[in-house]
Amino acid sequence: MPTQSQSIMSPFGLWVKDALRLVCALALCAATWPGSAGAETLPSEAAGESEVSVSPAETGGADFLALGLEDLMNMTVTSVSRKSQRVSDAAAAIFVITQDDMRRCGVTSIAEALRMAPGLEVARIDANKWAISSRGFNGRFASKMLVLFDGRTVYTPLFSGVFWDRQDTMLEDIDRIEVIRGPGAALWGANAVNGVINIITRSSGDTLGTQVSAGGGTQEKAFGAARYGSQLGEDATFRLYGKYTNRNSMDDLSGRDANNSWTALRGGFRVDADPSVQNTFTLQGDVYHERLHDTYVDSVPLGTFSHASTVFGANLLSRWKHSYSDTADLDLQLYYDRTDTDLGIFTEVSDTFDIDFQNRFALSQAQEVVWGGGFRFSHDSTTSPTSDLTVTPASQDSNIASSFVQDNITLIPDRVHLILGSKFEINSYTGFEWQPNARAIWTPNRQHSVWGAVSRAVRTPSRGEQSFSLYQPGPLVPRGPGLPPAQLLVHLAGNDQLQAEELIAYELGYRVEPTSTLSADLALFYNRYKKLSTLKSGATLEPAPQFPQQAALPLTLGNFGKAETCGLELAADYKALPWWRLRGAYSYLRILAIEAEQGAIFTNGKADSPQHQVSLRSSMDLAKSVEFDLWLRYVSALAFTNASTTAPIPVSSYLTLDARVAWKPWNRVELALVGQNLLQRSHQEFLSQQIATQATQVGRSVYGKVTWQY
Amino acid sequence: MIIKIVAYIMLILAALFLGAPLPCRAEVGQLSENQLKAAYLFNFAKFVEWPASAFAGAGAPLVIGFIGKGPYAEAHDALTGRIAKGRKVQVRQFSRVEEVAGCHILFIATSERGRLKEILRALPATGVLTVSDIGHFCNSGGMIALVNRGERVQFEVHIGNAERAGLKLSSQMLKLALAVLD
Repeated sequence: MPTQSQSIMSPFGLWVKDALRLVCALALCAATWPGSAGAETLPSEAAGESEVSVSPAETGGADFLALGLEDLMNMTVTSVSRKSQRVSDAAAAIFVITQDDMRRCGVTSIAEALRMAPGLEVARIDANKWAISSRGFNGRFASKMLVLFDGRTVYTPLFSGVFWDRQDTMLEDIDRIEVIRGPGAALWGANAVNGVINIITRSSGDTLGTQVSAGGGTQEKAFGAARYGSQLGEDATFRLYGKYTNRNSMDDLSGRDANNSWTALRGGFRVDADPSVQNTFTLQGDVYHERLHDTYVDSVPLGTFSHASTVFGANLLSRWKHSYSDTADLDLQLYYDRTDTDLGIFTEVSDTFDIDFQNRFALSQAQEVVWGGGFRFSHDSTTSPTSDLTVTPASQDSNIASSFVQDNITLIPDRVHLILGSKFEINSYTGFEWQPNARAIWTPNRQHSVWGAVSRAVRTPSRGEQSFSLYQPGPLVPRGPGLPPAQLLVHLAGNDQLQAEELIAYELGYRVEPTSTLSADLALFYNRYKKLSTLKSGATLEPAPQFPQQAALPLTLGNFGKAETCGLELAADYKALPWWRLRGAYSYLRILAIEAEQGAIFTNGKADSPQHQVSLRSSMDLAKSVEFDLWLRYVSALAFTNASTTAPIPVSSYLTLDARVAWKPWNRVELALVGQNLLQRSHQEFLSQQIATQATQVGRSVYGKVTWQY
Repeated sequence: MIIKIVAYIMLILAALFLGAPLPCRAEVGQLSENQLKAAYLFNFAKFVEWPASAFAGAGAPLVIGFIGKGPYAEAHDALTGRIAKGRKVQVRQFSRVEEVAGCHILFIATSERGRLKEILRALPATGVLTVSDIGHFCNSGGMIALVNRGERVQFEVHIGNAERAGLKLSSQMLKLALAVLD
């Protein structure tokens, strides 16, 4: 039975809806505005080009040809025309964060950059932890998104979550981040239930030369990075980078330092070679070491304690692409990834080997097929220095074999495409899984496109969910007159019979580009989840072997949950003036039904993701070398439930503003000043109750940065 | 209070929407990538000198050819009939290497990456300026490579390849090129 219907929106929510209706109406007006009338007067020919005579009859409005070479060199191409041209991507809710977006927003990490994308919930738990998900079910170890870093899967096999502090590189070397909400096109793995985040770095051929940057501030205490890129022989290029960051701790809810500062040192390389026109080869690797301060709360038996977690990681990836022709190519990728984590309550060393291949070819004039397969082997070994969190067995291997196929069928050339695909997987937890999907896209003309998709996606249980055991403080139970109440424990346990979570998603999208300066992208979705893993309490108390004299309430994981969600995401891009660009994103999420059968409970399923999110960015190019950017964000309220006392814990909505001013006094030097979260002294964004740490507030901060390039 | 600020911002946006003249596609500063490439080709036509043998006579047209897949209709409409170096510009589109003949500038699309060597070999030894946005074009025998630098499109020049084809590139163009290779 559906529980609360969440129909009562805050006044702001209602207001946002009205404003949206106004903007949509205006956009429709703009769309029906007569197209380019060519009525502009032609600029006169540049002096010295006397041999070029232009008569109005000949030009027909093509005055861009009159631009000189120097003007062309400085012209920025409107990004609306540089969106991904891949049809399979166009038939999905995709948003691309470009290098320029990241630079101008003043973000200092990939996690923060993701706030620009509609449909993503990004919440900062503390200085070194984030909770990021798409279309619901957010949490520190949110498991419904697949995150790829240059093709390398970065979620931890242990908990199917992503440690966002580790996903980093020299941000200037990132070409783009593709955020695809909804079950990823069948090309990716069994965790792409609610979306895929694809972080793509630039080829080393695009980062030649030396770049050094350094800065510091209140939250970003100190940071520095250096990169050197050069030719390597005739056909190859390479780069090396090193980066250091030192971040300050955030305060707890009463304003005291919560001991969550961290430092990270990282380095890496990338080599790209084009031995022949048909072959490209890439080899890249990173190594990093982090020291994160954590304050654990509600830990049994230690209560609250601090720990300096250390993380060491290294990875090596190689990729070879062979182009048979324009319509056929083969991709082969191998990588190795190692992480060594010591979180205090838990340590883990994990090694992953992965090999993937992908082949694209034209099956017929109207059909393009992509198919491929891969194999991933991972080994981990864990220890539990404190007894609250254990995984059994402590050390385990897992294998995943997967394959996929996708057929892009052109029903009407340049107008209608149908894409059918499926991914197949055999893993060591749940055996065989398949994820079919069907997408269609209709492009009546250059300005509009409509797409729809129906997909089935699956989230395989992680090793942790199959076999973990976690003790947390439970409710206090009165014992009788004169005796203090007994502290019960809560024993959360995994289940090795856990099955994969399932999703059937129905999506619809519309893109419009009424003029070259305005574009809008709308995506709607309706998701039905089954077999969500949730906790169910046992009938009787059980003893807790590691903690004598305390009894525990058993809560076991099982596939007891079902949910229905729907929502919409809107992104708009408007170049109001040649030097002023506005970009907005709005996300709406509504949980229609969420229930757990047989007396199981959803601890936070109801409101761990905000109902409304708004992001508005203004980018101005002032004078010749000054950039001024503003970024306004609104996130509506969250409501958590205390696991032990079942009391509600609200996290209120917030409105915040980031600002960046950058100045290039010389061609090679850029000075930037960035202010973050300027509107309020501090605000809370999330509450993490899994391996709970001290709740913190994100405070107002500022930093300065100098970048030197030659 | 804050809601009022946001309200004002949205009203300003709405006003801009209605008030700002919705510009023609070709307003300065807002070119599409294809328009930019067409503009480059037109400029190269103005800054390159062909040997006398490349043209049939004083009134012969300057032919810009395109080979490979791409949205060339716009470039075709924009360039046809324009005058560069006292000659009328004609635009031709080729789909097969064998068809390429009689053009002075050939733009090779990225779709032809696999057949690049074949195309360059099939061209006459002199008189054709090759331009492309295929990666490492100059190293593969091309003359002018269009490269993306962030949100801008700029160009590199291989002077050796151009001189071997009898073409002379103006020093103004060489000065502006990102790189002059030999």
